[in-house]
Amino acid sequence: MESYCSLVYVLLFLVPFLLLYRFVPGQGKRYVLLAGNLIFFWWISGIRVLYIVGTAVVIYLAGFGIGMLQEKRNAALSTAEKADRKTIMEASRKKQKGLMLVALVFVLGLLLVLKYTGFAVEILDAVLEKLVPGTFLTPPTILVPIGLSFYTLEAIAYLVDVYRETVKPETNFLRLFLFLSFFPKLMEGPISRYEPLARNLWDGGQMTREGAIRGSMRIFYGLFKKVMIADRLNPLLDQVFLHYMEYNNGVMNWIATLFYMIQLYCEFSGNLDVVIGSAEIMGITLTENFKQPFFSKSISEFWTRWHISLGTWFKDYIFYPMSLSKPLKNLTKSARKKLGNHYGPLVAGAIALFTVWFCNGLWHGAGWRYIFFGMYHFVLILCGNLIEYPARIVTDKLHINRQGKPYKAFQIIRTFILVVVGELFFRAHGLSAGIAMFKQLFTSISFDWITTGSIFTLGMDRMDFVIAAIAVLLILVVDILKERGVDVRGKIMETPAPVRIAICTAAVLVLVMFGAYGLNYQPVMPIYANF
Amino acid sequence: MKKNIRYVVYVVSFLLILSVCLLALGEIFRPRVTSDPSMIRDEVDARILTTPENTTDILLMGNSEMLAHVSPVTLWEEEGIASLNLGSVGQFFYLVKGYLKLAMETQSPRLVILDMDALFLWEVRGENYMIHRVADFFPILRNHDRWKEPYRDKLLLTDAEKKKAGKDKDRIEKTRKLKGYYYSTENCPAADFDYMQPVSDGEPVISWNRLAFQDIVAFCKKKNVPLLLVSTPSIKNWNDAKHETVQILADENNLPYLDLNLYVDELQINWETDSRDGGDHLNDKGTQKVSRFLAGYLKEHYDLPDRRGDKHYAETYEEAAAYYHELVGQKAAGVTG
Repeated sequence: MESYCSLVYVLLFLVPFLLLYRFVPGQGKRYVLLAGNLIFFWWISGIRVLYIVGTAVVIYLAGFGIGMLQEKRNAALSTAEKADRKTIMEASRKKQKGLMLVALVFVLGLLLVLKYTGFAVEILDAVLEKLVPGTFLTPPTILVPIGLSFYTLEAIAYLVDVYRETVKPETNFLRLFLFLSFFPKLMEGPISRYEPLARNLWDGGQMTREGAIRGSMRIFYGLFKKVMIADRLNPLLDQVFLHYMEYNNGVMNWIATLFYMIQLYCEFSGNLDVVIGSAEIMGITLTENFKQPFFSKSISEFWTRWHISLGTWFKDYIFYPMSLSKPLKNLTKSARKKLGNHYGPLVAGAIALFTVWFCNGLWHGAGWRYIFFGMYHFVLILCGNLIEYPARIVTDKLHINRQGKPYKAFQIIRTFILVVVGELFFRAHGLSAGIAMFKQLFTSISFDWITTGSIFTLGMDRMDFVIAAIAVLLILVVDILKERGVDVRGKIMETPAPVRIAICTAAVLVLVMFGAYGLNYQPVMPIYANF
Repeated sequence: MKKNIRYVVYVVSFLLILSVCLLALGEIFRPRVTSDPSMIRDEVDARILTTPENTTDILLMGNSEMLAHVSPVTLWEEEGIASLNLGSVGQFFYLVKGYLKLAMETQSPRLVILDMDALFLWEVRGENYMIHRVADFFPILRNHDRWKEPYRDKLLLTDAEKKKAGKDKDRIEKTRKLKGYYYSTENCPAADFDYMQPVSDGEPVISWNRLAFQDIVAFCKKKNVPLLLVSTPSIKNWNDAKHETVQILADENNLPYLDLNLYVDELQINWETDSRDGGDHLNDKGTQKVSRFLAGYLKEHYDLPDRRGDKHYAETYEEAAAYYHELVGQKAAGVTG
């Protein structure tokens, strides 16, 4: 199974699973789900299912241990003198922290070894080549289980929350495992928090008619995005990003980068639509991962609308803990004195922000281009923070209404361009290719490929361009409606049955007739499943 | 209760209406027999639909190995065998059944020959297999982008588009005129001749390929057409492990299997002169050797009539033969490459 947006997933896995899940009563649901999770993981990763089992065991034991320590501490506190309380608290905290760190080292170690060994060997090889010419290290071939980065972050979040005492330590291993291995979110997230999802999964979702219809519509919408747009753009993108040196055409690079942004959005959010829709049919609510990201007015805002679950994870488990740590608090204090109330806090914030974006880049993949991608966004956000104050002064002096529509439109377009350019490095075959393509954006401006029609010989003919444009327009309209708070699916459900049937039939027929699937197309593989 | 019944009625109505629409579209976009191959987007479909009715005794299926390694013209000239090569580049097994189905609408073959190289294509996607399985019920899934065909040439507005389309068209048309044989006289010698060293284990097969293979077997059985499995000589694509796997599959399904890689000496394949790309595919020299051998084998093992005396058959095959000899003549005169 390559993707959630596939007939293999929908027809061979989801439909039989949902039928079984629907008709198994009460507590049986949780065991059906557990079996479904294991079968799904086995299907996509084979024997590597053992990695997630191993992670779950370690996290469960550590969480359980921390819980025991907390109970023990509470018992001691209830009988302790007031003066001893602090000592008891600190001693327990130390032990809990130790236990948490051991488990985190294991889980993160597994992630690092599986995902980053190749990259580390590559760096070592480059260094050794400089020191001892002729040395050659071969990166080992390690088979990484699909979704490793996703369930690892969820496991870490659970354990840290147990340590922070915002989540009760789990006493039932199956409950924890059910949460970590929940099949719809296994490959591409959303990165979920333990409660209330774990409880919902264990208790079994309430399958309703409305949920089934809404979920099915969501799945269809995801398939539409993937098959009508993401897959259609794929051949052209493959060509341009692979042969950019040959083409040496900045305009083509601009087009390809823009198309990649659209493809990435349609592929990733399309898959997430299928994921969330699948869960919705089961009566399970998953957290949203996209919120019309292209209406963002700044890069910071973009990251609160794009891959939301990853952004909030980094915020909660890296940015805040770092910002609130003693050394950074002290730094803020002294910086405030020297730089004032506006710029002072930015110094400590920049350090935390750097860490977040370094990790964010690395999380996306083991390669310099991903680190560069992270740093690109770090610099943009930092600059945004630094410029904000003087920009406000300038706009005030120029009497520009920052709340006005023209200014907002300017902000949206600016943010969009900056994000699109960042994606060039993300998609390029290596950092040096990304830099070369970036240079071409501004140095090799030529419209030859468009005027001569060569652009239509790269796997997308004129009709493909037309269909892709119409489909993108449709997605844009839906996003505008959603931005305005319109529940599109709800509106469709409110229509009379014949109209509803007509809409659904027409939608399926459009997808069947104009979808980019079959012999003459090469679908894109799930982009985020590899992260 | 009443609400539930209404809900079931809605769902059933939706599915019924959708099915009817899909079937209707399938009928509208069904590829039809034509004399104009440029109207058909898929080159194999074009070969099938431009072949005169009931002029084929053997359908040759497979990927580029079949496309380049068996010449229907040679089978015709050697033994009067009427065959049509439906091989195409990267033809996955899941596509074969659809082509066979289409071909059998106008032809009544006595034998299907399947090149087994595609069994080991690892790029196969379960998704595409599924689409073609669903297409068994709703053919529109197989032909869905045929709506582009009327616009295809009209939308070639620039020289670059016309040039690219023209290049593809020439190749496709040349192959079609040779009854599906890809003619090439290029020569790039191969290096390693010892490619059939015995091994203990068979080559693994992706389950989608295995499923698609079983579909082909079942389809031929249903149509009561014998199926012959073959492997044609290829240093780069074949080895003993693959042979072992195919032999097991053939035995399991009670099918004959002819591995021509075991006969390279008998065929007198000279890897220095008979390959066009370093042992991956044969050139015309190699193909002639393979085709002549295959013609003899088929005559010996199958009850295939010599159609050379039948005007209905001779017309189309003589035309293909004449075109082949014209190409050979042009090559000899240094006109084509």
